[in-house]
Amino acid sequence: MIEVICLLLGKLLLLLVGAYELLRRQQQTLYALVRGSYDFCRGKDARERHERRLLAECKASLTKVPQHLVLIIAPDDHYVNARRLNAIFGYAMAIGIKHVSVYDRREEKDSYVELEPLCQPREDPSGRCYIWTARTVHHKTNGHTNGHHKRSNGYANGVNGTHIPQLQVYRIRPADCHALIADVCRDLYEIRKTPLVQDLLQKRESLTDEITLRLSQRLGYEAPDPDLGIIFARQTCTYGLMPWHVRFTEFHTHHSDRYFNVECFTKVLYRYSRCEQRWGK
Amino acid sequence: MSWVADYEYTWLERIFMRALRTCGHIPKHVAFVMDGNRRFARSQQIDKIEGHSRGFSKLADCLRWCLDLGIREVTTFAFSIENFKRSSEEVEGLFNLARDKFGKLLKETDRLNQHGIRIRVIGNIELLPLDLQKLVATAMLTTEDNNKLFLNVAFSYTSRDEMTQALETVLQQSNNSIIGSNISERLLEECMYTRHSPAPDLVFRTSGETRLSDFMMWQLSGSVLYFSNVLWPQITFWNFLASILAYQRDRYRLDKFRQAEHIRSAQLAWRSDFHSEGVQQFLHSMDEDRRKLLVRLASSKMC
Repeated sequence: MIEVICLLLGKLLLLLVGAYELLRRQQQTLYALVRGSYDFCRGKDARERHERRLLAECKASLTKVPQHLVLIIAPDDHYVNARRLNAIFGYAMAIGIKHVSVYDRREEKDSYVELEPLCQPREDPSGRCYIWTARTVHHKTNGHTNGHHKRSNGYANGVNGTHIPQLQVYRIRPADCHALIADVCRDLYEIRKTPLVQDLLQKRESLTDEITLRLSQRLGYEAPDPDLGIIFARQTCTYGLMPWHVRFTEFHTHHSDRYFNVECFTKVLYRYSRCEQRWGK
Repeated sequence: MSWVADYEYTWLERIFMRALRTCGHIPKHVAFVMDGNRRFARSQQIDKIEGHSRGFSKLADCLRWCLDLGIREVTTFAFSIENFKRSSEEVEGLFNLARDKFGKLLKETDRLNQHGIRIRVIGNIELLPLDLQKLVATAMLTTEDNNKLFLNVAFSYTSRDEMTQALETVLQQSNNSIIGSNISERLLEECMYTRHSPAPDLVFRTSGETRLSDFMMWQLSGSVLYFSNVLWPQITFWNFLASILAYQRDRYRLDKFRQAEHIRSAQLAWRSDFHSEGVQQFLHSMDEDRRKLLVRLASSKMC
């Protein structure tokens, strides 16, 4: 008898959770539709003014600003597209974030976003680094951008051509995560009999520093470890993102299907600003 | 206080636990970041060490819940290498607590054997005081034949240190049984402290922090991360059950990713000749060396 009651209760519980999820998704879709329509109706200029105001207020009241933001996009996400990424880059630059990494786990045949149409590739052999400027020209679209823009996107704060702010953007691939550490291990293994490696093996901290250095060389860019990560998914998971680098990253999950706008972005930053990093102390 | 509490369930708790066990998938491996002991102590105006001690009581409750729910493996983050930066008074207090708890564990080995609990301490234990090293090594050796519930205590641990240790193991191999092309993520995974454990299905962090603080970074690629605002000493059975329910809700969405990673790992193992005699010999000798170290620490004489 008890077994049957438990079974029924369990089924009911799962049903309730499922129903709640469904209702929440419906509500989020509706909200996204309403917000999207409102943003569309009030016009681009009014929206940008509102965004600039919110970002300025946010910047003024933050106690700390992340230096490096990482965007993690789940394999089953259909929400983040080129337009949204472009908007996030703009928000990030307006706030004063210097580096943004994009870790898109989607397949190229799915909603995967190419960075080339959004940013200017930097001359580096790794092909990971890009520069995004407030005046980035969109020469082409990949099916997600809504047209060709050849003007400022509203976040430039030096518009006379004297100073164009730049954002360093990096593409992180799955091969840059666990596999990169194995690559470094292989490199060191090839020279394991040299005095350099033998010395490193005497003290673990030295080996740790050497691994950090070699990982950085292999990545081909100099950037601090990500301070803040926004996960675009329906669940919180790192999807194997750079295990060496994200040990102290604050993760915030933005549920797919939810509208992501400047309010959501500033909310994440306020939460980040409130949290205290104790570094083990 | 025992390592497994004699928790008295209410009838409602019993029913809900059975309901979850009957209808949903129970995670095989749950990892806990037990955060918030000091904040709890401050809020209750008690000593920090008393806060940590209350935290340990909650761990004992948690182990009981896991055991009853059918979770086979639990990993807890007890002490980070970064925690050595704390005041010497607090570090010494934490070591005294560990001495006390591992000492009690050795006294209740019959009870642990009865439940089939195996204790494994993961971390750089050579950084600990000698007497604690001895206690830890003895506890690990005493329970090494148990196989019903695995409790991994991350003590003097950081993920970076673990990864560095894995590379060090490969670079230090003396019998040349592996070659450069054998080195891959698959091999490094086997060199981690958690070599004999599956990756955690669920990582549960308390106290509202949403970072991983250098805990199992290598292993948690496909884990469901669950962050709760409750402070660790205040965690209740219902908080625990909520995390299991969240896992049951989220795991379906991660299944495809996890399967793809599993296939990729198998392909990598094939490409890097992971199952070759040389690699297996290397891993076998690594296991032997690790056991020898434990035996040496357990049998060392204190000054």
